Amino acid sequence: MMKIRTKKFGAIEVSPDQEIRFVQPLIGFPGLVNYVLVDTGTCVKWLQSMDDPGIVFPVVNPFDVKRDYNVEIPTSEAGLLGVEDAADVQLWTVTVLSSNVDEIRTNLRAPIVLNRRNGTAKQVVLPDSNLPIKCYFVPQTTQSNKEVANAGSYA
Amino acid sequence: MLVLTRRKGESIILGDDVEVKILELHGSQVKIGVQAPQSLSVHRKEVYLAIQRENKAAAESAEGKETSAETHEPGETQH
Repeated sequence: MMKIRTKKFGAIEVSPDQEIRFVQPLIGFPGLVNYVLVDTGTCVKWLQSMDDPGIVFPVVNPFDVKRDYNVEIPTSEAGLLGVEDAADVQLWTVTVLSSNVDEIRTNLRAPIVLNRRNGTAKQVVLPDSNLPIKCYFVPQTTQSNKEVANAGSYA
Repeated sequence: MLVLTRRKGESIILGDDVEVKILELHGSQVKIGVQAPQSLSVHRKEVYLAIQRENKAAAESAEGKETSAETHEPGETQH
């Protein structure tokens, strides 16, 4: 057990098998490669940096947000993470929290791919450009929704 | 910034193991081939920047400045 200091959770204990090592830092956060996934019992988990007590990312299981989330992890990326069995792979997506529910969103284009067997991970930018970088939890009330509603009234 | 002119089919080499090749030209569009080691990420800049912004927004939102109702935690303050 190793004790680490965090800004959000205070001092927490991390066992070696909980440690996550990123083969590349998250985009925009150079130098930070050691993380731990903190579970506070909600559907939002916390990817806490072990290198910087002040850095923590809310993450969610993308399949909770989008049931038909379909990802094909490029072979080269799977190779970087040493993936031998697809069952070892866990996906987490970086999530923006907000007191305004309309702002809560998660990034389905660049999930964190974690190989649980060896604890290595990477934020993988998927080639599928149809996957939203901002997938809002609450469907956006846009003009198109109003149009659908109007169209419904004619039916 | 280094500026150089290349023709279709020509390349530039970055360092020892990265090759950037001009594949096709269509008006204002250029098709580029990049050959690089697996450990080197290659991104479209606008996608890279958008992901960087989202990562930063996520990290800021975790500080509790903006906290959703379901993630209330003791000792967390909202300003």
